[in-house]
Amino acid sequence: MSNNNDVQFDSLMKQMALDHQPQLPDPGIIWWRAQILKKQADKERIERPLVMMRLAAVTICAAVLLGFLIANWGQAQPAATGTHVSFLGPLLVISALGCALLLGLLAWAPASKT
Amino acid sequence: MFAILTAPTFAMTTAVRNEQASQAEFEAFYVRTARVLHGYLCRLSGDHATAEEVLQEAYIRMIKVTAMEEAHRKAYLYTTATNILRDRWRKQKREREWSELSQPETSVRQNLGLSLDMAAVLDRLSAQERAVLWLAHVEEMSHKEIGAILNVKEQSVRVIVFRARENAKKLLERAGFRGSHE
Repeated sequence: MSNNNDVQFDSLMKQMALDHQPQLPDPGIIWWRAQILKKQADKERIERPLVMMRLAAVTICAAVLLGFLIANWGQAQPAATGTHVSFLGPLLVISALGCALLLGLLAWAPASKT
Repeated sequence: MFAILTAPTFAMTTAVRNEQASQAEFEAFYVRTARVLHGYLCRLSGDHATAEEVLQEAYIRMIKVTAMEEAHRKAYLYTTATNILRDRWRKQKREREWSELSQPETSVRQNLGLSLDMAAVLDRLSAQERAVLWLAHVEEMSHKEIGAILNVKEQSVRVIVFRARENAKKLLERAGFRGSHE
């Protein structure tokens, strides 16, 4: 094949492309897959502020709970060590457990949605 | 009252009609372009399954972006498909295949039909050379368009196309193909 024979090379390439007759995926399926992905992306975009708000709520709740525990540590400590029996100690422990459960649920909910 | 009741229905009908028209338009475009794009991806990846996956991914990305002219759509499709394939290679740490010229073997398969010989010749070129030859000869794209798709300067495309063609011709000669003039 000479260097001037670019036309022939061109026809060989075109012939090779013409001979390629694959079993192609259905365009309808590709279209609907794209629509579903598009809708999913739109949903995620819409829900993003809500997810951010939930995360902010979890953070604030955790900070408030921590602050409350620190502020009342003096009263809670005797109950925890068992030297003094008071209703405040068990109440604090139950509240802390309840809040932890609630925070866990709040934190888990956005993650499960997205 | 009538207007209140019919307005959402009308809007919904229009949206459905628009979607149906878009789908029909997409399917027509797909029929026109998919076979050749699949060939390009097959030649580039050397694997039918990869070509099909990348083809679907490229069309899905194209549908997700806003409407554009057919010429731009085709360029977008090739650019996207090439980039998806590059990303896959990068992930598989085979990026070097893109720019390195694979070592041609001493013999090229013969007597297996013209197209198969041509495919075998292309398989012995680098991925970049395969891409430029396909885009230049099958899709008949300009050097500027090829450069945009492959992210290479127009002047470099000219050189790459020339070298790729020369390499392919040498391999064809080695395979015993002499052309119609001899």
